[in-house]
Amino acid sequence: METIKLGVIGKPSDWLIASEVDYQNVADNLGITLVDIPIERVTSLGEVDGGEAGAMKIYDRLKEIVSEYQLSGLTLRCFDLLTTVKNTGCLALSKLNDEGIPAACEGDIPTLITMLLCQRVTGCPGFQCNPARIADKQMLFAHCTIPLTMCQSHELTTHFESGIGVAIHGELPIGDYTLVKLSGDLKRLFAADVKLIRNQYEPNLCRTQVQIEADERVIRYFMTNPIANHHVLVPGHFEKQFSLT
Amino acid sequence: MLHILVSSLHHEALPVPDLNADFVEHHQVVAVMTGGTEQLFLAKVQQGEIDIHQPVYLVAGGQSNSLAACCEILSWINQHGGTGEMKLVWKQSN
Repeated sequence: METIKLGVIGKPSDWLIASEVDYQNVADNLGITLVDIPIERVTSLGEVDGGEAGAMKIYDRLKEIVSEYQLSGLTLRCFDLLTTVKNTGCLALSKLNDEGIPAACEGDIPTLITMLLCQRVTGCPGFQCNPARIADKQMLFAHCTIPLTMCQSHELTTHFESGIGVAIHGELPIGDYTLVKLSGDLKRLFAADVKLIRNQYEPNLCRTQVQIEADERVIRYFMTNPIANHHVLVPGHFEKQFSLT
Repeated sequence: MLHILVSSLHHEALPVPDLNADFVEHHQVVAVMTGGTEQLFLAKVQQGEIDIHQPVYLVAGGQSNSLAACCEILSWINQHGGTGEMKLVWKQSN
């Protein structure tokens, strides 16, 4: 039987109040071992260069941790890096996802497990994103990191909330995608086929911003009973496949 | 009653939503101005300023991860058997 170990580097961010996970439940039902790793393993880098070189030092450190713990994926309490390392985990997480190692921001464990699930079902990495706007049958999703293999073009810029470090503004191909989220108690799985209709770039939002067209069921889900904040967008229509998992 | 939540993560200028005064006077309304405000919401619940067993109206703006925080808070309310509803307030820029 395959052994899956996922690293939780630092605790989940304080704002993830609806994203708790019972490690034993995850082990019993999914065969996944969650391993707590102190955030100091990364923050001990100290202050690094504020550009790409510094961001790559974070990537190198995460690669060491992946190797040492034999991890299949990880989530990083990345906001702790802003005040200590003075750079971001955005580029590092992007590169790990491109290498087939699901890597989530903010110490978000349910989203990490969702990203792993997406990779297994679709064969592709996913885009961890925040819902940012809802209007009619359209929604805007945004985040400061994205696997570059998902992008048709990209540029490196600063992280939204902090204005420092390296974040990614990616532009994705227009077309079919699936929006996915597994709840922390593993009892709910949301999956919906959607269409990406536009990329955009506005201030006061995370740097990669995509507009999707969604049906009324999706809008209602977000307006009334969402599974927390972060969701994962993957290319292609896989709603039916997810419903079978 | 209106509760305005703003996180120290955000420093950008934020327009205060234009809400119906009569509605605000008679309901629990939480203007979630930014992301990172979820613990501020929990503190208000713990201090008895917000009762999640009465309808809580979460007002989401169109920037600064306001909607993201509303989703996390609404999810928490639902997990704890409360009653929440989201209201969207922003001017369309597109």
